[in-house]
Amino acid sequence: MPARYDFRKIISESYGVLLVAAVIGLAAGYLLENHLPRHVAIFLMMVPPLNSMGGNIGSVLAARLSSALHLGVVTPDFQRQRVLGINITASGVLGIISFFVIGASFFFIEYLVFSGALMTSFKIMLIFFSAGLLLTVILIGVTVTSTFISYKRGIDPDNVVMPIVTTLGDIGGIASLIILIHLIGV
Amino acid sequence: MARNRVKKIVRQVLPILLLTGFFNLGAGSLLGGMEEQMGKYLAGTLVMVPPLMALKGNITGTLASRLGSGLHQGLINSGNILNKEVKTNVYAAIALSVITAVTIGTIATLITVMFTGTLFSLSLLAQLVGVAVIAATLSVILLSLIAVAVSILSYRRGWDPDNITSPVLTTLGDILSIGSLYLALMVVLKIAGKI
Repeated sequence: MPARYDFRKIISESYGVLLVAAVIGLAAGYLLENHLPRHVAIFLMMVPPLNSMGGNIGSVLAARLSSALHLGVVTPDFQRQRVLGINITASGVLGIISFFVIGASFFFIEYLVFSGALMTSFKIMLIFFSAGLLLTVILIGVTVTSTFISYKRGIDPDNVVMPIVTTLGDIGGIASLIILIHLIGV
Repeated sequence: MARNRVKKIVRQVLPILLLTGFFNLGAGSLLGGMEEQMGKYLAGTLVMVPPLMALKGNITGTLASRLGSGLHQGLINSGNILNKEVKTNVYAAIALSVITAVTIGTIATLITVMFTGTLFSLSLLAQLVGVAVIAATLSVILLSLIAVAVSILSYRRGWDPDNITSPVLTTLGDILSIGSLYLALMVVLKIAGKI
């Protein structure tokens, strides 16, 4: 007979992780409030799609990698492996296609809705697309590393990697966006 | 061979990825629309956006996975939606969101006072904590109800709730939580007499 749900147990076991995620999120929010160009609504619009698509690419990779580890088709070593290569390539391809499609939507939003100049709209698209690619690279690195390390230490990656990937996805998305805004400029 | 396997993964994941992207474009335009109110009336709101979004994701994600395990183990009776075990889980999710939102509002006030030169006042603290608590609780209640309904209905149909509930929550989550934040900001600004 498995234990019944206990209100207090759920609260005390969850609060620590939630607090850590909240503090990291606040750091991301601080970046957002103080380092984005003021009053440019289009950059704020980019935050939710960037974070959620990055988080999904990372968590799908994490889920597949941990199943592959459990099945024994991938070993937790940082070297060339066929199945690992396939998974990383697939995540990269997913990043390129999806950030390009949503980036193109930002081109039309800036050009048609905000009546921006053609060059500005193009730069907006380029900023979103390159920030997405940078985020994809960061998240693939973080996902592979944290999955391998937790598996080697005997911790089930299913339980740890997901919160790490989504939390880092949030702060990494905003950081990538700020870096690309400064690199490309508007 | 390897090429085909890459293609297969891309083909399966891409549709849901693009769907979340477009849904979140909606969330993003809400956020963009809030910019003026946030900057002009209540400094510190933007600081709370990432932690509040992460909070609702973490709370409802763990709720969904507890519900899935509970249904599989037979702890939760799928015939009766509002049974005791479901209620305990939903109440715990709501309590967690209130406690963590108070923490987020308090730290956001400290950040705003320390780094932006805004003077500390009890009213700033009350407003930021108020926005955080209303936004978090509202989105967690809505998403918990969706999580319960989706897991129980999919279980009844013979689908594995572990595969269905989380994607539904991540797709709806951001737009609901930004919508709740918008509503919370409006309510608090109205009470404070700023709009």
